[in-house]
Amino acid sequence: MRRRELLFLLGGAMADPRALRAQQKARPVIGFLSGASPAPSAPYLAAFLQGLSETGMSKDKT
Amino acid sequence: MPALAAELVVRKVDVIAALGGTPPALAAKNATATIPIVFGAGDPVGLGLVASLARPGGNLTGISGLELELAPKLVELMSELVPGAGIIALLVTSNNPVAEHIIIQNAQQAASAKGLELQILKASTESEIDAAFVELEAAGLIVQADPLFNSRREQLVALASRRAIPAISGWREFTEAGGLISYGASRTGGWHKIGTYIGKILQGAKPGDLPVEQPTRFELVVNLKTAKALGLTMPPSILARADEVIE
Repeated sequence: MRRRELLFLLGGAMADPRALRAQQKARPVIGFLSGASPAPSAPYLAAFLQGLSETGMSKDKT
Repeated sequence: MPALAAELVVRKVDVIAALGGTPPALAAKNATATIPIVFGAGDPVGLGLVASLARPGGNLTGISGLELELAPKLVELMSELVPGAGIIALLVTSNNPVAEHIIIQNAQQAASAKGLELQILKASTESEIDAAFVELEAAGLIVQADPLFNSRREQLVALASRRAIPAISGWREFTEAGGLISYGASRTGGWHKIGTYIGKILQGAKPGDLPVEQPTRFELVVNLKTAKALGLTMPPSILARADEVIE
């Protein structure tokens, strides 16, 4: 695994304490496991959140 | 990747979104048989992620971007772009032997049908990409649509430009960065679907009951600036089919 990718992935894992706090509030937690690319670009993330919200879930609930 | 997948399992997340190609999807599958996983990966049956697209079973579902299956289309596009090319090259990532085998086989069949020889180049690091371009002896280059190459698209486009070789791929980011053409599924559509699947699973749906969805919208993006720099006249047949033209 290339160093830069590994750093990104660790970064992703380190974002998890926030997710953990959310879990303590009994909110569902979504774990993201991603490949070499950096965080998803805005249009993709927006499409993802749009899909999530169409099922009645939202960023604030997870 | 396996260690990070294991960490998500230890943290007891409710659902794992395994995005960006084959390695995250396989790592997540190997890490847990109970936590639901929603993946985005080409040819999930061929990769052994799910038993079938219609009824994935187990704890996985997701979307297929058809990245591996569309290789023949890219070969056809290249043969239109460079008539009488003789040899065309396919650059694949060497991070998954199964995916590598599938895409090479798909491209090889299409190339043979067109009477073209296919040069296979493999790379998964910046220096390996540089080395692949040294080996390159073809009239056109197809770059596998893959997160790794997507993150290195500036390097790929610069190298293609230096060699003055037409380079095409499956994701529009490649063309936006200066690649000649991209043809592939709309990725916004894929992300949207992954969002709805995660929402459904968080509300109790079983991943194994949700069919793996395949894209229905495809986009052909053409970069005329790059064509001009290459001194290449874009065939009207391709321009007529283009969903977007970058001038």
